[in-house]
Order: sequence, then structure tokens, then C-alpha cells
Amino acid sequence: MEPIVLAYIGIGLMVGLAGTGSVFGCSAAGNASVGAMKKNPDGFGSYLLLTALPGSQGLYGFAGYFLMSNFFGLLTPDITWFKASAVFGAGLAVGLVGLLSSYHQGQVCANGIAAIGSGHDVAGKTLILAVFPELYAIIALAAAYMIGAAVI
Amino acid sequence: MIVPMMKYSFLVYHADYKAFLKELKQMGVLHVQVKKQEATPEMQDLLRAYNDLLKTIRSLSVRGKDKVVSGEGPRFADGAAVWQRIREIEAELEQKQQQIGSLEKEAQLLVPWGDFSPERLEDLKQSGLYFRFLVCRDKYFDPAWEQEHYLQKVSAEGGFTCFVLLQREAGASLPEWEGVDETLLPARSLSDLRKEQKALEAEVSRLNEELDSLATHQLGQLEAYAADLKSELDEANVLHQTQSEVEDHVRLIEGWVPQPKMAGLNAELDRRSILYVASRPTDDDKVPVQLKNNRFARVFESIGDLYELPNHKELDLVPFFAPFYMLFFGFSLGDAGYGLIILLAAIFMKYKVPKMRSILTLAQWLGLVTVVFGALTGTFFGIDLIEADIAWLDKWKAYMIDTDKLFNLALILGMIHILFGMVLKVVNVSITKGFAYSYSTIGWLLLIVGSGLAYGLRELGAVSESVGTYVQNGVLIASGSLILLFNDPRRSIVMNFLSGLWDVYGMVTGLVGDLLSYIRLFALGVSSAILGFVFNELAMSMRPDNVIFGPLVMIIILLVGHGMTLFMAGLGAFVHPIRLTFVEFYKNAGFTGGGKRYTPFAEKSLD
Repeated sequence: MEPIVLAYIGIGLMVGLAGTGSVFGCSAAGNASVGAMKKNPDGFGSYLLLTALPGSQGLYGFAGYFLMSNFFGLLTPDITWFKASAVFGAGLAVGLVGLLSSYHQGQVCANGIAAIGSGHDVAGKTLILAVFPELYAIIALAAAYMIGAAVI
Repeated sequence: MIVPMMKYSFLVYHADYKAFLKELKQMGVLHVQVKKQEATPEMQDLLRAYNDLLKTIRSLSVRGKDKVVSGEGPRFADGAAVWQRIREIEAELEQKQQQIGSLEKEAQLLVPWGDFSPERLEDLKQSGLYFRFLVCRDKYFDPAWEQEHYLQKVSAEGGFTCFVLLQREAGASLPEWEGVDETLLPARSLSDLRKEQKALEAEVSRLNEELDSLATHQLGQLEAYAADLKSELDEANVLHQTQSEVEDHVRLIEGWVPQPKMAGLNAELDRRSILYVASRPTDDDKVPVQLKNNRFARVFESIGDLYELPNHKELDLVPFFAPFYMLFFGFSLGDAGYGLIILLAAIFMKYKVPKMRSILTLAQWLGLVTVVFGALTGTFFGIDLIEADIAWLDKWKAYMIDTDKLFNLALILGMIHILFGMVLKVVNVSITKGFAYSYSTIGWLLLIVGSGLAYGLRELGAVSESVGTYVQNGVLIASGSLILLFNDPRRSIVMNFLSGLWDVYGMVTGLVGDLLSYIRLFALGVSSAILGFVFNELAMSMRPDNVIFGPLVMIIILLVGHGMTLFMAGLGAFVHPIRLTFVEFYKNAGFTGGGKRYTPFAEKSLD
């Protein structure tokens, strides 16, 4: 097996898992929005905002790929095992953390949306609370950046 | 800082009490002491009515925002009458909507059969002709039936075939056809139903127009009524908190007045010959809290409000966390371009919406610091200025901080934040309990700063090894004794030692965790730069070669991408420094909280 295979497996995990997480997160929030709209259609702006929030982890996965490929220029055919394993590790980190943080962030957002639908004025506070699971995806992206910087 | 308060007690003859309360309200400085937490049932009803009214006002103001209603609208005696009419309209609207709904259900039954008169059916029944209305799925319908019976297909839509069977006997049985059901149709024709529906819909739109007119013209009256209700609620609460003494002849009311307002209040009370007693609060009193800060720190009070007010004895931390919060925001967002957008938007909005002055001033400060940090880290809309080949920036590049140094900077800022918090804790503990209780914290400060200095000086070679070790040992002994032996002046040395050991364990694990928490600033700052960079690259690589579409697509990608990044990174930069303030800083500053806001019993001023 060539080292580039391992590197691209890492990239696949990075983009795939993080994106999947965003799918779960945004869908959970979107489903809650449909239910909330039946009770309180005026809050659509808040629903939209909270549903869009879990979408950022997929973006981080993509940004991680961009970092590895364009910024650090690591994805070349003659990549060494050392660099490929670094890319794989970064990919695993961002992908796994992105998947789980987005999944659960979507649940926080969905709960907030349901509360808004029931008439409680909690949009701002839900937004604040939803930011906390995302921190770890951000940290994973920063770690990917540091891994890339360390191996070039 | 927290405004000091004085406790006032008033003794008033019962017959004069109502007039006294009115005068008290006019003076508007007394925060009535809450002795009975449970509200009376009347107060609860009043509160419920007030909250319902607020909801109605909110929904009406949304209604009336874009509507243009000509004319003056009907006159109402007062806000209560307006509200009554609104509730009537809403009840009527609900009823009519229900009626429209049930009419629609009936109409839907008739739609496949078309418009025919039920009277004609009745006439035909008299003549011995009975119509049966039958429905079945298309696949079950057999055209052969038309030959065998007097049958007419009426319609075939949506997978269902509707047909009519003519029979000569009343109540005759239906043929044994699979999948065929009989529908019982309403006794009215489709056109009658539609006419009634239209009439109801006209009613509904008339009622809605009336609501729009009320929303446009009578909103002020409603708001005035709401203010009246609130005033009534306040007065009811004050009466509730009043105590009856001397067999109900005398009323006693107690409360708090800010010290700066004392002189003015005393003069007024003397002028009106009201009996009062002013005293200092005791240690057990729950004194309300009013904050007073300079212009800079005042805008950060809204952030402090997200958590808790300090209790009246301790230090107000808002002016102390304000500069750090600003710094951390700038660090986390860390892009000069985004900071510029925030700054310019805040300046622009300040002219358009003067009501939001305080929040917009906060936004201006945060935007300014972000521009500074963006310039320091060399990030402008995701463009890495350190790597970029811009001629006039070369001499500034020496001042720019790159990513490795940024990591260390985050930790250094964190250490400074924590140490500053601990210094404040010394002050806090000295104010609340006494200087002797702060020895433990002083010991820790001495240990951290002293050891750090000793280590640093030794490394830099400023002092020799032996002097360094001597200083280090001195620091250890001094701080150790403060932490382990003198931490509580009331306890014995042995208890202090044991408690001190436990404190050491808590502090060591706590401090390490707290310090590492500041790494989030670095992570946030780096991620916003990365996302900005990604969108720049995306815009460059995805632009088509067309002269017109190329720049257009590029601009769209840049706008959407940077807009999204600004929002996400801005949100993170707002929330995480808040967490660092309320968790790490407040904890190390020994913040207790639990203060209640100072809300005087006063006339509500007109906004």
C-alpha cells in the first residue's frame, strides 16, 4: 500500500464523518422546527438560525481538507508514511469530533427550537449554549492545523 | 462598584398610609424589602393578566408593523376597553375559523359530485327515484356495471371513481360490489356551502382589518393600560410587604435607599413630616445591589447580567473583567477585516437605532480590539499578511505574531487573568471576611509569582544558581506557611494544616485545568483565520474564466463565505470569553453572587 492511500483515507474520514455529523445535527433541528412552526410560526427566523448552527462541523471537515491539500500541500503522490499518518490522524480527529459534536449540538438546538415553539423566549440563550459542543470541533480543526504545520 | 445602601423604616398611621405610599412613589428611591415571598391570589391574577396583555401587545405590534390603515379608527374609553374588544375579536375569529373548517370538510365531500341541488333529490325521492352515491378505487370499478344497473360515473380523480346508482325502492340493498363504499352527502348544495364560506371569510377579513386598525391606532392606549397594570401590581406588592403594628393602627414598611440619594430623601421626608428611621445594614440583611461604573465599564454590565449580580458585600467585578473580555474577544476573532466590519456596522447602527446605544458601544469596542489583534496576527479577511508579499507591510511584519507564539500568548494571557483574579480575591476576602482570611490566597500568589520569577531569573542568568535557589526556598517556605498554617485565623494550626493540604490538591488540579481552558482562545483565533483562508482559496479556484461571471461568482462566494465565517467566529468569540470570565475568572476571584437588583418603588417614566 502506498502512503497516499492512508492520507486519503484520513481525508475521507475528515470530510465524510464531519459532514455526516452536520447532516444529523441539522436534520434533528429541522424536524424540531417543523413541529415548532405548527405552534408558533412567527419564530421562523430563530428556527433557521438554530438549524444552521450544527452545519459548521461539515465546513470544518472541508476546511481541514483544504488545509492539508492547498495550504500545506501534503497530498502529493510521493508523500512519506510519516506525513500520511499525520494526515490520517488529523482526519480521524476532525471527523470523529465533528460527527459527535454536531450530532449532539443538533439536539441542543432542537430542544431550544421546541422551547421557542412553546412560547418561551430562549433563542439567544440556546444560541449561547449550542456553541459549547462546537468548541471541540474547533479545537480538532486547530489540532489538524498544528499537525499539518508540524510535518511540512 | 456597588452603591452602598441604607435601611429605612417608616411608621405611618393607617389612615394616612395610602397618601404616604403615593408620596413615596413620587420620591421613587425606596427598594421595598421583600418579607413575604408568596404573592396573594389577587396579585397572581393581576400578574397573569399583565403577562397576557404583554403578549397581546407584542403580537399586535408585529401585526401593525407593515400595515397601512387609513382613517382614525373607533374611539375607546380606555386601554381596558381596547383589550376587551381585542379578546372578543380573537374569540370570534377562532369560532369563525372553526366554522370555515367544518364547512370546508363538508364541501370536500361534495366536490367530486359537483354542484347539484339537494331539493331536486328530495323531489325525485317523492317520485320514487332514489340516488345512492358510491365511491370506489379506480381498479375496483367495473364498466360492466353500467350495463347491468342504472348507474352513471360522475368523476374519477385522485385514484377514486365516484358514481351514482339509481334505485326504485327506498332502502334497497346495494349490489355485492367489492371495494365500494356509500357516502352520505350533506343536505346542502356545494354552492350554498361555498356561499356561506365566502360570507364567513368576509367576516374574518373584516375582523382582521379591525385588529389591524386597533394595532395601528390603539397600541398606545394598550401600552398605557399595561403600564397602569404594572403600577397596580407594584402597589399591591408594597401593600403586601407592609406590616401592621399596634393592633392595626400603624403600618410599618421597610426598604433600602442608595446612600447618595439619602440627603435628598431626608430633606423631602422632613418637608412632608414623615417619620423615618435610617440605619446601616447588618451582616444578615439581603441588601439590593445597584452598580455604578465609569462609561467604559458600564457597557460591559450587560455581559455581567448574563450571569449574576454580586452580593452587596463583595467587589463588583465588571470593571475588572471588562478589559480582559475585550482582549479575549479580539484574540478569538483575530481578523482585522471582520473587526473592521463590526466596528463600521456598530457606528452606522448607532445613528439609525439610538435606543441600542449601550450594546452598540460594546460592539464598537469589540470591533476595535479585533482590528488591533487582526493586525497583530497579520490576518485580514483570511489573508495571511505575514506570508503575503506586500511591500509596505514589510517593516510591520516584525511586530506580527505567528501561530506558535499565539499559542504561548493565549496561555500567558490566561495566567495573567487568573493571577489578577486571585489578587481580586485577596481584596474580596479582605472586604467580606477580613484581611487575615486572605493569607492563603496571598500564599498562592507568592508561590506562583515568586517561583516563576526565581525560575525566570535563573534561566536568564540574571542571578546565580545559589541566589536563585535561595530565593526559591524562601518563597516556598513563606508561601507554604501562609497556605498550610495561617489559612484560617479562627482555627487551630493542625486543622489549618489538614485543610491546607486539601486546598493544595484543589488548587493544583484547578489551576492547571483553568490555565488549559485558555487554549480555546488560540483554537478559535486559528479556526477563524483558517475558514477565511479556505473561502478565499475556494473563490479563487472556483471562478469561471468568463469576464463577467468570473468576478461575479468570486464575489458571491467571498460574500457568502466570509459572512458565514464572521457569524460563526463572532458567536464563538462572544460566548467563550464569557465562559472564561464567569467560570475561571469569577472562581479565582472568589465571587459569591446572589445579589438582587435594586428596583425602587417609583412612577414609571415615559420611555
